[in-house]
Amino acid sequence: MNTMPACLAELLTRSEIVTAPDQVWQSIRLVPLVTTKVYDDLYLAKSAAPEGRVRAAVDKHKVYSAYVPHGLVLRASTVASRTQLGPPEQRWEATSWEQKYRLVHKGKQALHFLPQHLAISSFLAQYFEAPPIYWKDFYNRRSLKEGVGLRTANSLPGTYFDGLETALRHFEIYPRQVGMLLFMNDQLVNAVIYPHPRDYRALHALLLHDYYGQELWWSTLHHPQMSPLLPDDLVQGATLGDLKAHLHQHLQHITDFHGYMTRSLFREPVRWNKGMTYKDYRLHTFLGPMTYGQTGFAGEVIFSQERVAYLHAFWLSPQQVKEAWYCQHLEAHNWNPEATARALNMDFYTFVRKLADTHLRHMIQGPWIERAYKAHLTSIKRP
Amino acid sequence: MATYTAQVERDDLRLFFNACLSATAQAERDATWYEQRLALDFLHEYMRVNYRALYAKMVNLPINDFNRQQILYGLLRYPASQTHENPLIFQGLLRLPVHRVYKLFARLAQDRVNNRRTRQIIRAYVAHRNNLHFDLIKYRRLLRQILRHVHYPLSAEAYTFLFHKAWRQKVYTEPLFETFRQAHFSEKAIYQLPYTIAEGLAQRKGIPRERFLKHIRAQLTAQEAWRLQNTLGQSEALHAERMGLMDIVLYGLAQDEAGQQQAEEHLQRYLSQAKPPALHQRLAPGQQVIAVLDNSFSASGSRERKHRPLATALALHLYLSHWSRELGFAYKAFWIHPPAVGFESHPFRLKATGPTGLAAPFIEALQHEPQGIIVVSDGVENHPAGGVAWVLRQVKPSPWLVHLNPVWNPMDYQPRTLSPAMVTLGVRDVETLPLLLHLAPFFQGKMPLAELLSTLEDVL
Repeated sequence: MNTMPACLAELLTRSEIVTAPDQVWQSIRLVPLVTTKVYDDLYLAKSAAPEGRVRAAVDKHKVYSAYVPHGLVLRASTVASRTQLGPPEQRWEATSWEQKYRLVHKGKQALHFLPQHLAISSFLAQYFEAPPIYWKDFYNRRSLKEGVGLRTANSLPGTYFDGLETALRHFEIYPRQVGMLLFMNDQLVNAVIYPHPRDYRALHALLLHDYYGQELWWSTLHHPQMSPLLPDDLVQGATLGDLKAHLHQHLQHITDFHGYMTRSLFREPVRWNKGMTYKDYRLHTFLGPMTYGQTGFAGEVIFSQERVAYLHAFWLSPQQVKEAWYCQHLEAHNWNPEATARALNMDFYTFVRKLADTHLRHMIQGPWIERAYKAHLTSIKRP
Repeated sequence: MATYTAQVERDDLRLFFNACLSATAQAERDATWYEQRLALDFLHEYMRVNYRALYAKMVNLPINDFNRQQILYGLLRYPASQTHENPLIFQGLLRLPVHRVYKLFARLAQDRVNNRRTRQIIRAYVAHRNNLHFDLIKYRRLLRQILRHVHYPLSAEAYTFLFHKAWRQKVYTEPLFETFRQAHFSEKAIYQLPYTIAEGLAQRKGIPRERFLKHIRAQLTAQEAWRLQNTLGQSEALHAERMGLMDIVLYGLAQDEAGQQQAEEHLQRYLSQAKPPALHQRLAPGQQVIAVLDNSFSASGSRERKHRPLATALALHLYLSHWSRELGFAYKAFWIHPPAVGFESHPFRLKATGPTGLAAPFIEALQHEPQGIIVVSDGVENHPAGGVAWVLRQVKPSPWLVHLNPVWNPMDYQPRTLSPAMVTLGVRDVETLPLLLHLAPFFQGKMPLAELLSTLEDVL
């Protein structure tokens, strides 16, 4: 009953969500996600979450500081909630963030959360436990106590990307559209699914204020026109009936093509993080497959046994993926650095040096890093 | 070489004629007003420099007022020693609404265009209006610039009224001037002024809007009364000779449910009163014509031109379905997203939603084997992209094909085309359909320019 789906495509099949033909604006390709089953039991809206720059004290010495573009609130759909939001809610105070899940806040009747923040903030810190053993003084005391904490993540709001606003404004929303896949230079960078077509229409513009990886900015500076997907020519003497059939087939091909283009997000197995429940639904954050040198995805999903109600992905840069990749390998070897280096077929000091080149440097005790670099210097001095 | 030159000339003229039919400097969904303006200014300059004689002749063709105004400005601003232009210019001015003419003159004054021809034309126009005292009130700011610029001979009283610093202290014998002066001191006099002037004065005096509208009713022109009918809360009688089908459809699409009923009544009255148009031979009795109509989301238009593409499609549908019944040709419509049940009796409930999939309804239209197909769309095709062009590459259909596009695209100086095999015409008012069908062969290169110009008189 409580088995988690192996990959996200399984969730899409549950709701019968498929892609529809894309709409192109310069280098941006927008692929709508259209559903055949419309459920009316949930209602998602913008919430009164803190907006803009937010600072919240985590404890005496720590402050959580972030830019929050918007928050969302999920409620059980009733006639009242569909027509109006009821009395204005108490503003979601920053102090409530000090709870265990500081980015998710479960009220009596609704679930408040900050989209993408869950993914970013939990990207490293929550997926991997702290090293269980004090391997040869290798890790420092703080990381043993607190685990792998990613201290900062840089990203840009969509307004920084040339043409994104125009692309979203020109997009022709489908009648049963519940989600959107966003490609920049034919690279999948964002994906959303909302519970109901009505919610999608209302929240369509929020895609502009989402986070996008900082590295993407360079790739959209030059914006070549992406080509639309055109139907193939038929042999001479085709009848109108043939054309009709071929047109239908072409639309199916486009769907298959988008299925192929989104395989890194939907078809690969994902790693699930601890979640929370809301009515029959479960909110989980996930981490896609981490391949060295590739980009990846983190994100959050709300789903039930019947369907997926919400999905939001965050694009991870190769650097971020690299860190997660090291974490995965370390974890597989019980955080033993020597065993991991051996398994990766690397010299121990080379492994330490490469690890120290990532954000994970803060976990390692200083003398190990010094030794690793010294070994590196001697090795390159040798004739 | 000669054929090549002829082709270039025809393409230039086609480009410009298309722009003159549909382009205005209003923002479209895909382009801002500034982009439109920039592209249009270039196009006008290009035509004026290269085809001046033809450019001057365009003034009297059925183009929209914005472009007519631009052409007249170009001809007067950059004079050439061609006296045969003068009657054309004057005829063009008479075709424009008065406010556009005065704006044009004021722009010439601001640009310091003060050659003898311009002065004479402005004086002749003002004299021809023969309503100077009324114009001095209604267009006071513009005429102050214009008349000073051309040294127009004014009576002593008019001169004082227009230019004297202490014009308010004087009592005028001319009743219009006197009313205008009094309106600066008494509310009663405000209600005797034209609506546009009274509105500004009422606001300056702090008169509440409701009270103002109640008293100004008698002064409203037919168009003003039509525009204000919802604000005034009383339905206005339709002035069929002043209104077009597009006006009614645009009005209907902007209404809520109660207003839509009102608009349906207006529509019925308009269609029953309208004189049967001299339709093109392509719409002769016994012919079958099919319209493929775009009601995708992009048909909702821009904020400045709300619902314009949708209104064009709907108006063409209403026009063709009405006249097909009256005049005996067969007509059928295919919408991209079939309208809800009850559309025929409540046409204004039509909504613009969803993607643009023209290929499927186009194939269906071809399957009916009509004599002609008219496509009304803004040409932004995406379900799938390039569908109509693909269909026309696969089959060579026998019916004649016309694509009417209400949206001008400044990026390529013409409305978006769907396929090289289908002629694309800009459209502003669907009641010009006979003319557009007449133009289509010329745009396809099947009719020489001389023939077009000679036959155009008969169509108009």
